[in-house]
Amino acid sequence: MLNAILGFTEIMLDELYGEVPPNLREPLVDIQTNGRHLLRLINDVLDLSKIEAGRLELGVDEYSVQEIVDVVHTSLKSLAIEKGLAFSVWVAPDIPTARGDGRRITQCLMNLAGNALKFTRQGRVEIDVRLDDGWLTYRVTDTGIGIPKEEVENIFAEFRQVDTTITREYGGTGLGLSITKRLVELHGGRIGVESELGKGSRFFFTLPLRTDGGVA
Amino acid sequence: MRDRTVLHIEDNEYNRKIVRQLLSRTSYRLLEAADGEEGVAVAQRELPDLILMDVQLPKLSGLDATRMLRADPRTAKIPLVVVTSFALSGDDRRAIDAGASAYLAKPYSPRDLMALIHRFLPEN
Repeated sequence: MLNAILGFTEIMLDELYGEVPPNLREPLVDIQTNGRHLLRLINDVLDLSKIEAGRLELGVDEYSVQEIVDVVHTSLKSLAIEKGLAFSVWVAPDIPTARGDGRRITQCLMNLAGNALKFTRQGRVEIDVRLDDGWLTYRVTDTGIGIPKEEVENIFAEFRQVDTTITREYGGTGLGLSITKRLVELHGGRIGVESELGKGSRFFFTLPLRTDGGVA
Repeated sequence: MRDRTVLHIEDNEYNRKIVRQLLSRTSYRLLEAADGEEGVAVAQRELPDLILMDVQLPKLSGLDATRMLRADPRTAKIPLVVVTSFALSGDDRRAIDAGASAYLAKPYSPRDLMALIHRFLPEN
């Protein structure tokens, strides 16, 4: 159904049905924006319900850490440029081929880096990955709004954005962090955050370099 | 040379309408089928130049229909794009395993679909 909603909207905007009257262009873009948001929400709810039901299976394969970081960097670069933020990535040069669900790990890093860019008004966002003793640590550091101390422990719970005005101002489904946490745990890893209000946040997750999936 | 023919196998009328609209301003000739069995029959009878196959179809699934068309020497070489339902469910790999030339995840951007059609089947 969303395929039809988003599809018809796009072909109307591309004027396949003829010229779009100027006063209709904005509401059509509004349908598109909200349709895409609904799609994200549906995907997140589906992911979470699969995880809750123990039905989410990792698609384990060999993957390249550098490739994951590059995909996330490329996908989010335009958002960083739009907001005037510095956005850099660094991957330790000695990391061999890793094993896990590369697509899900990309989703995790995309969630964290997307949040960092969303909640940072000025300054920078950095992604770095290093390897210690067979464990990979992915870190996303920002100079954003930070998280109040009393909220840090709830930040990975479902529907837990710090307050409802955040949903209005920054968008998002409120499910990204809890999905990320569960996906990291499915890999036998763990996730954490350090944050200072007004200064910025650093989210990180640690995974075994090679894993066929653990028990969440 | 006759116009190049695209066969769209899809049970959802709205999604068929999107492709109909997309192709209406091109030189492609469009054939439609609303379930897997009909899709295989039309493909074997008309030997189109490109097949767009939805993955979830009544009577015969898109993946089974793909396997049947790949097993038939008359249709084995026709470029075939499987339209999968959810990118994350592993359908993309199953589509390639079944013999698809490419896959496209729903909801797709009509622009991307058009680009894929042009890639496999340049217009006359």
